[in-house]
Amino acid sequence: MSDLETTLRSALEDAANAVAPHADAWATYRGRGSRHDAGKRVRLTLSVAGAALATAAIATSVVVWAGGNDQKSPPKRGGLQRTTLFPSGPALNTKKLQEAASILKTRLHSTGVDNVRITVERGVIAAIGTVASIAALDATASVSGSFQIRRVLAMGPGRGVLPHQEPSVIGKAPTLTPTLLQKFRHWNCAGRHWPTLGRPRTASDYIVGCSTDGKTRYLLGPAVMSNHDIASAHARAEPAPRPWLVELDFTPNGATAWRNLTATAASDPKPMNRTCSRATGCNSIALVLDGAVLDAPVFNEPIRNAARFTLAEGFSPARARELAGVLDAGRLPAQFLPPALP
Amino acid sequence: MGSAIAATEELFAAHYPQLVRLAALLGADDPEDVAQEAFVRFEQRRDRLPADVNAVAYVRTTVVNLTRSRLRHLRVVRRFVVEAPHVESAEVLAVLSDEKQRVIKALSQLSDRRRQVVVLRYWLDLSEAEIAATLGIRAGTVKSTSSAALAALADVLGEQP
Repeated sequence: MSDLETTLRSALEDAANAVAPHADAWATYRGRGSRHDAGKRVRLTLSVAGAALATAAIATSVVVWAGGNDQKSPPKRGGLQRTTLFPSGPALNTKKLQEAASILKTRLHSTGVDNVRITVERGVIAAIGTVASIAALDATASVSGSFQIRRVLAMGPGRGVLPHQEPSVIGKAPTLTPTLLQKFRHWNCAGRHWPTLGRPRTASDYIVGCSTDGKTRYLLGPAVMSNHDIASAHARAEPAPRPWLVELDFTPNGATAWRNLTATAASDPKPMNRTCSRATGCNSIALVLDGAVLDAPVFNEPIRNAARFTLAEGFSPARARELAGVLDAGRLPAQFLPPALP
Repeated sequence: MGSAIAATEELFAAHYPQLVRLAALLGADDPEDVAQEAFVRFEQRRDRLPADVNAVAYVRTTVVNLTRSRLRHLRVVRRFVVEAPHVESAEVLAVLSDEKQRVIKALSQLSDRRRQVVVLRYWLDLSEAEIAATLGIRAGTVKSTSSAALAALADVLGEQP
């Protein structure tokens, strides 16, 4: 140990010993037994901004305890904003809410947003932070982060009516209903934000989904892989001017499933030309996040390394970090939405 | 409820003085208020905490957070009229040697985070993992913050680290 460390130790020791707490501190503490109630009354009478700050102060310790890494300096009083996020669908218990709060914090942290405090209060998630951080929170909370990998049964342009074809891959999907096929032919990906037909969180359902740019529609089989198969995800910079990548590392089980899935896709009948048709399924596999198709890579031959897949969709750095954050942090127990404006 | 109070009293008796000193070393100008507030918060939400919660670690984390937080100054009621002395007060410095006075003054020039790491490491003798858990940061960050803090102290004191 260096001299400095030794001096530091003894200086701290001496200074601490010079601080003498009151001998009757317990009596004082208990004697003011109505402190809890007094504190509540005080808080209720504070102004709106004051109440928000008081809530943030109370939240601090809980947030840290909930497994977050919330330790930045408190945001300045000016420019603070609060938000309350409600789970869409059924109410969640406190444990689920805390899990959601922790996931949201991880996601925000991975995109460099730290100046926000997130806490769980009576069935909702409350947060206070700078205007920009609250905007980022609201945005990411609406992404439930349900990730799935599904077989592509058919695909086509995002809009317009597709001609009817007798599909070969579709023929292997006996539970696919003619109604869904019909809807797929008429589905319009433009004009709405990531429209999905079916229940994208339900693994056994067939769904019709769109690419994130709305230019392509997909008919997708049941989910074969999910969030549980991802061990980690991270954004990686490529030398400029090339766009960023998102790398997915699969768990051992995930890697096995991925190897089998890609082998199946590669063994599908090849398209006659490079234009994909829904009859062939295009030998592709869709990576689906909340019902939107992030990527649908084509596999012409079995892969060598099944432990990792790299998404290379021309991401901006911000989008790559955001996506890696969502994939890495895992799926929220529900979507969280701010209260609808009147 | 009676046993809950007894349990709190035991916890209080065993750890209150140390927590007051911790708050003081971290730079609180009202360390008793901070320590008491930490116990109040612990009691208020004990029902909602996991049954096996480490009460001491919980209260310690709360003290660190409250000390750092200026928000408590918004509280309308100051509960303590007579406070234990604050660590850079004349009363405390008077009992220290010149060299130690300089160390304590240099400590107060560190950022909050560096100061927290130094105090938890060199005064409470917490391990890196414990410091990381208390501050909610990674163990690697504890290590780097600690060496940065030592370098900064050495710089202020004109010594080699």
